[in-house]
Amino acid sequence: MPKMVLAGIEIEVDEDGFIQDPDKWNEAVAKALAETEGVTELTEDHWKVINYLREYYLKFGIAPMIRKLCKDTGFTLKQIYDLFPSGPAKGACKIAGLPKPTGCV
Amino acid sequence: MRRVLDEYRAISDEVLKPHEKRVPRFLEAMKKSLDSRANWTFWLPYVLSLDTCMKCGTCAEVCPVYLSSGRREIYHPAVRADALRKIYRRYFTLAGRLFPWLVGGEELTEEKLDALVEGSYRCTVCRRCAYVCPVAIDNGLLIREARKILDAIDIAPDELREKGTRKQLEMGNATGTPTPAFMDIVEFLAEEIQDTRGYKIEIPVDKRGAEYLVMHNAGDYLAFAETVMGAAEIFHAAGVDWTLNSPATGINDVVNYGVFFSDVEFEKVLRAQVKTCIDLKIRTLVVGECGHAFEAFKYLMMRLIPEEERPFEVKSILELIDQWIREGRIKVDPRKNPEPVTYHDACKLGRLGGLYEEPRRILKACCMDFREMQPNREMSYCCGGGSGFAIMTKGDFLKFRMETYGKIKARQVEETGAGIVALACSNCKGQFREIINYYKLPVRFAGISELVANALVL
Repeated sequence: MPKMVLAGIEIEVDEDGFIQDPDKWNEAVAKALAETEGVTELTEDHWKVINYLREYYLKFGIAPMIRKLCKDTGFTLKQIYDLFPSGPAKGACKIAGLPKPTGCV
Repeated sequence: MRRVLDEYRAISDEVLKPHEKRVPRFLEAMKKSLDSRANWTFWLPYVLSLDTCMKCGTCAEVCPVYLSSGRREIYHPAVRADALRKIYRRYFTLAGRLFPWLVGGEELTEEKLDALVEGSYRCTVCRRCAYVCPVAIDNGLLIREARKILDAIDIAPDELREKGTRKQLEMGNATGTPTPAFMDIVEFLAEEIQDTRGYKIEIPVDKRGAEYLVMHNAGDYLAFAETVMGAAEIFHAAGVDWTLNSPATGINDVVNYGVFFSDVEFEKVLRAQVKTCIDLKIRTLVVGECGHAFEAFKYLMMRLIPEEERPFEVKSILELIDQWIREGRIKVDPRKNPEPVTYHDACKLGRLGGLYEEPRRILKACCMDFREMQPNREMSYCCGGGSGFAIMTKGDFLKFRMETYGKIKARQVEETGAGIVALACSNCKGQFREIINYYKLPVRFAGISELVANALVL
């Protein structure tokens, strides 16, 4: 498993740069992950999405439905793409420290 | 990533293991694939396709990857399949063993094996080439056989195996959705239907003995919920005895990525799915909007599991909706979908599955302005999401999907002038999501079930 230095700590990531141990995640790691996704600044709107994803994941063990994510955060899918250019799965989930979503999503 | 065939990589070195000695194992696995007793799916067309290509090039003139790449030789369907043919001639024919140079046999090296791996993942096995071949050679099938041999020596995309079939067998679905999350999803869907349509419906889960078990592609719940909601509304409107199932009952994901790369994985997943259906004592398994799952249950299953061991019927959700509209069991009003709609034939439903008229009858009944994409039906172009590509995004692979298949598809969609592309396959939806984004197309895609639900008259 490759390792990356994120916010000064060495963290195991998969081939797509998703961190493997959700416990290693913190806000500084999120900022470092955001940079790998071309998101240079994490605004309040970014955090709203990130925190929602994280809470859902910690409760259910999986990323939420995209429709639910949109409804509960109040953002349209387009707005989420504006915030996270590589999309909710590859972009937002990565920054929130979730594993890469699998299956046909 | 290290260059092995072209500027893209579908499979990383971690899986490819270029420093190991893989050639002897590959040849051993290929030998087994040539034994009819050890290769139950398509042995005969496989060996005929290895033996008989005339190199006429008809296939190349219809291959989306070859054409859209500016006719790059490495993407020529016969050249791509020749990687396997050369090995066959060199190692598995008498003439090739004695005089390889006479029959076009070629020594397999580790470098050529790397290129063969990547070449096997530059084709979605859409089989447009097989459709036009004058001597019925199936170069697409050869790609699948190559992937099977590679899987036998542990070379397979992790999206399809480790995080695909293996995860599905472990968790009940390839998305890894646990039962409490699944129940939360279903509850949310029912609320959404109430919020958007203004009426409440019950969405049954794990109902034993139901007439219809609707098994969706589990990814649809997470990424394309409108399809799942539409299906629930349709089954409710039809007033039939139906159910979804949770992972607690076994497998609740209709996908079977083994279709793309491995008979071994395919068989494990299919047997687990059949067991789930038997345990639930359902009468008909309804395959949701998923192309390859239709192939798995409608055709491949017949070659693997005797009829008496699968005591249930199999229907595509398209077949049922079409039947119910024609019978008047559900009523639809096309004025509720006034926008121009076009339909993309998924390879696995159309060219491979024969479902051409069902989706068209449905869409014409439910939409005011249905427009054909050109070409269509048997000659439909693959969108580029097929054979697992829709979920493969290593390195620049998405760019490959967009600059080849995606480029053709985007142009086709634009030419129709439609505002909505109707799709009936999850991989197509994943690919179209990217195409629309990449080419900034002024359209949206919708599942057939979603459009039918829009048009329902209750």
